[in-house]
Amino acid sequence: MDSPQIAVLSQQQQLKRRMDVVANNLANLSTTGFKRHLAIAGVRGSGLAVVDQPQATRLSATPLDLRQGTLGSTGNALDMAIEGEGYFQVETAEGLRLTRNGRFSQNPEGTLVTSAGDPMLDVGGAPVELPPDAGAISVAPDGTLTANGRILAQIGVVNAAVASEGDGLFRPLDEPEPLLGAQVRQGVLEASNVSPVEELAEMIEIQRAYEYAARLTQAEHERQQRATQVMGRSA
Amino acid sequence: MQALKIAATGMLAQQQRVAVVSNNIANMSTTAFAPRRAEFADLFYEQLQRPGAAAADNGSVQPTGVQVGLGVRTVSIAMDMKQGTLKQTENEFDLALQGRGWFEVQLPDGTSAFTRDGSFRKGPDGLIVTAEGYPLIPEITVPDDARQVTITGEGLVSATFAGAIEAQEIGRISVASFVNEKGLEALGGNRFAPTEASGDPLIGDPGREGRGLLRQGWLEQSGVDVVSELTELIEAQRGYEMNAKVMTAADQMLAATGQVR
Repeated sequence: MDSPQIAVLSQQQQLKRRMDVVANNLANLSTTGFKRHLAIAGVRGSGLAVVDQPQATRLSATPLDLRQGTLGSTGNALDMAIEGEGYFQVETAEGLRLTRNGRFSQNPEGTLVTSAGDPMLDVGGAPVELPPDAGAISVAPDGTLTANGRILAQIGVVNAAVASEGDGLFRPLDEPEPLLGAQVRQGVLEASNVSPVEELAEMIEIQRAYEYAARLTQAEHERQQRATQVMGRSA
Repeated sequence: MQALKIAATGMLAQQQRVAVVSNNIANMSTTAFAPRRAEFADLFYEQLQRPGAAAADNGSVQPTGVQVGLGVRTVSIAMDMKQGTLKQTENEFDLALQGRGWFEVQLPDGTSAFTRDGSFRKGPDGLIVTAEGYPLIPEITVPDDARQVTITGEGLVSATFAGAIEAQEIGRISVASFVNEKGLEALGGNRFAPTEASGDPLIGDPGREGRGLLRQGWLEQSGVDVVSELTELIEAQRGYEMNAKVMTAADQMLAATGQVR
């Protein structure tokens, strides 16, 4: 196959992948603490541009867009959100994971856990346990958890480079660093940071680019057909 | 192309949200009803290139990787345990719980259930029963000749009789609390059963160990806030439309390929 067609086909592949990323963002429009992925296309191969040669492209990176999602009040004392950067730490079966979803509840043992039942960790990396008779719980912006004026725990907020893992969890790519000056808000949850308008605009752009690519394939096909006919006649 | 399936998970999630909202709105006048909220989480990710892995092209380490998420799922539909507003009823057996706590009631099959609906009555045999006739635990019998029944915040039930000046104690209402109230299983009829997630009931006097106080002659109203439910409904509807648009766009892209000869 000729290089223009390879370039067009690779572009279509790349656009389909980008469409998947947009679809996933929109599917998570209502996912608490969700961070949208960007879909970045790049040139396939060495990266050295060959002048006047059509180049194959691909989906080259899907970095997280870590913009703050809007904070919505829920009134639940154990719902928390981080304003600004940082993540809550969660102990899962696969090891330490980070999350921005602060919808915590207590398990029967009194430990603070995520919706999936994994314990949330304090600054020291230990699960946070609340006594059954704790009464009203309040969380200060620095993560200090108190009940009846008694300090029970200090919620650990950390920062690290992360990759999405599903279930609202992120896998740390380097050693999480404690984040000083983190702002924890009680009784609120961070909404998904997906903006429907942006995603729809990107979706339309992808769709149109895909259709042009299809038309280009059609045009190229017809050009080759005509070339074959002309050359066949002159022979 | 995964976009069709991904959009389908998004539509399903929003549909579930509408179902939850409609149940909340339907229960806007149900005594002591706690509104439910659907919670979502992203599904797993297809790792085209793991973050931190060396890129095949030139050996440099990719800072972000290429991950394509595969949609969304519902993780939980949990109760919003907010205190509902109290309404005065003047009925002497109506009880509202101010703060945490549950009344325990006896079901006909021998098991017990828990409820925050305190619209009790005096049953035919003098027992204090729920609106559906299930006796309150511990059982309290109100004598036929009792004139007036008083229930204190701490659960003490006393009655005055004709000819007597002093009120006589006839029982004590205890209240149960759970470590994780959201883990209770809804049985319908405002009743709940404890589960492994909720833990065992901690039964004791009202007003102790974090349990709320009783209020005689009042009922806790539904915790449903219609305005926020409607906002939620509009959001869910728009979310559904957005995902449907993705589905249409993905379909049109596939059609564009189909038209190439």
